[in-house]
Amino acid sequence: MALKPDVHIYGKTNQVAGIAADGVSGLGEPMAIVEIALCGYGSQVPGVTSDGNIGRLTNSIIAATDGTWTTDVYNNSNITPAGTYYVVTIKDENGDIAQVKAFRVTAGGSFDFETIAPIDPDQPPPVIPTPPPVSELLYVAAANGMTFDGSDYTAFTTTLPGDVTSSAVQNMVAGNLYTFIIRQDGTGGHSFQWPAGCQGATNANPQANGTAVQTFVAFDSDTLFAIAPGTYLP
Amino acid sequence: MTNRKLKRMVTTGDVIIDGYQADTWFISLTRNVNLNFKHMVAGRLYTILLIQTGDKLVNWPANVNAASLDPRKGSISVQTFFASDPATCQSISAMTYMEKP
Repeated sequence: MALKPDVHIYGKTNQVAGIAADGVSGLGEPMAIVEIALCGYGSQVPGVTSDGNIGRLTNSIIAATDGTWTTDVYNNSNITPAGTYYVVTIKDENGDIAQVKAFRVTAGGSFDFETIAPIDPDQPPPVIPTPPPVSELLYVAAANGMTFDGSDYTAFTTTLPGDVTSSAVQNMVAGNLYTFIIRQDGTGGHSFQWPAGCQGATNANPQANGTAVQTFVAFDSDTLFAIAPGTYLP
Repeated sequence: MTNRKLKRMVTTGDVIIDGYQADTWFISLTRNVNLNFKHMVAGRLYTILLIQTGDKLVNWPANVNAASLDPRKGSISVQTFFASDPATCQSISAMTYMEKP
């Protein structure tokens, strides 16, 4: 179920120094523009917990002629990655900046913009916590026709209980490095047929419980070039 | 999974390998080129694929150790480096040579 913006912010621009309290010139122009932008998400695409990506990161609001404005946003606690904050910029009708405030909202509700505690402008923005490490190693069961899919993992491991006479790669991301760990079982001596798209591949280590490790760079979705000879571990 | 940044280039002049822009470069050689490295991030691995159009030469900077590339048309030479400072890269293995599929 889609999560709706749970923070309602309201304000009045004629409380801002530099913006006339008596509204506009009478020609119907807005007396102020309020811009709100989500910040602090770094290189990641910001999303709402359990609800996919955020569709709009900035919003421009034309204040009413009496200076009032409102907007609805997600509270920062529901936004991933952690550490995001909002910056509100209020401009007068000439486009000149009259007020800027950065803040975080960590609970749902209705808030008066003037009373939301700002982030100290003399301090750096909140540090984005390092996301917990996610394994990029996938165990692939050995079988004839086994497939290594590069869309979600950059390393693969398999244990050979017998000969593997065919295998394939798919969805490799060009430019990524992919590492393969090919293990023998306790018997050893099993052959491994590398995918046709793996150029420069090294034969599997034939020793019982032996391991061969090799890394490739993806040229396209089903072509990999070895960046170095494979290495053997006993 | 974090994808590595890829930059595809066709040589029209000297090439700048800028670590701010990519982690992997696919470079089609249409002429002899000088490679220059900058902004490499110490500790990272960088990979360069050089796609040969035939007998083109690459001059590596003095602070980057790399082998000579395969001169054959259609060949691909791959070299991966470990960056130790913004302009110094150490190859992690010998260059590998493949053919374009």
